[in-house]
Amino acid sequence: MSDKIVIVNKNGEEEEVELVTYLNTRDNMNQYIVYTKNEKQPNGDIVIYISKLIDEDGQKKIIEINDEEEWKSVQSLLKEIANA
Amino acid sequence: MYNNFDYQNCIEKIKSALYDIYEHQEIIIGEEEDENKKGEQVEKYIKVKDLAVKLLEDINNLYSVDNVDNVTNNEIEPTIVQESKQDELLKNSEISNDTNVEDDKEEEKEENVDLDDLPKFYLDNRNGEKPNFAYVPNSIFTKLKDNAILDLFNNKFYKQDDDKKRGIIVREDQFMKLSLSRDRQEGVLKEAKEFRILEAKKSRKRLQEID
Repeated sequence: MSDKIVIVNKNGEEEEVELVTYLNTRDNMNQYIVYTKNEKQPNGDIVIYISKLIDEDGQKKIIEINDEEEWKSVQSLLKEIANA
Repeated sequence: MYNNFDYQNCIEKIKSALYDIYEHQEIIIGEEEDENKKGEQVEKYIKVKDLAVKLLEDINNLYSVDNVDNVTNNEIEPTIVQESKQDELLKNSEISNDTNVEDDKEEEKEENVDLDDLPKFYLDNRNGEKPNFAYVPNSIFTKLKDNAILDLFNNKFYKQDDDKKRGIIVREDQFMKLSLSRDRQEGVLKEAKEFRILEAKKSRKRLQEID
């Protein structure tokens, strides 16, 4: 069910992580990827990471979400799915 | 009583059975030639998946009497995990080596199918040379467009900044729901690919008959 993706940083270093899902805002203007490095808490909870996806010249690029309002909006999208 | 009964093992067995069903359903959907019936089957499939998620969550809630963790009222705990603090918070974990990347290069040769009355969904701009696209019926095109499905075959994402990753801690059942939401989207994409392959085979057969 899961797939590996590779995140390449600005130094060209690659990190393999596991894609969990995608998020789209309702207006389809913003898209995010949700991924995990399978890091688990002692109680079994799992850490997931969310980055914003930018499509430039057909290449998939990501940036971190620094805007707090946007971060809240992304959490809201996650809750819709995870608490359904 | 709660201490002795291995409900987690039961959950794993249910999950295993469900995955068999999901896999079989995807074959059924792929083989269905009638567009309307295909769409109906996809709808039923999604409904079953949603019910399955609910079932597993309810079972977890039934037994997790001692699960007094940092997640309350069924809400995601907005705990921000900065990359530098991972070692303090987390156990060592192993990334699964279970990968299964489909090679669809053979199917790309079957792109030359004249299906002008069907919309094209561009999967990606493969290697910058020519677009990789699928002919899909309108019902699937709408689903793909609405969900803005990403190409799953080019799996590199290029980080454009030096900012630290932002993370959230979620419960296992919440994680599963998130994973299934992606699986649902992928089911549609896979369906589109299978449709394309079938149409290409039909077209090749028609050409052979003409010859």
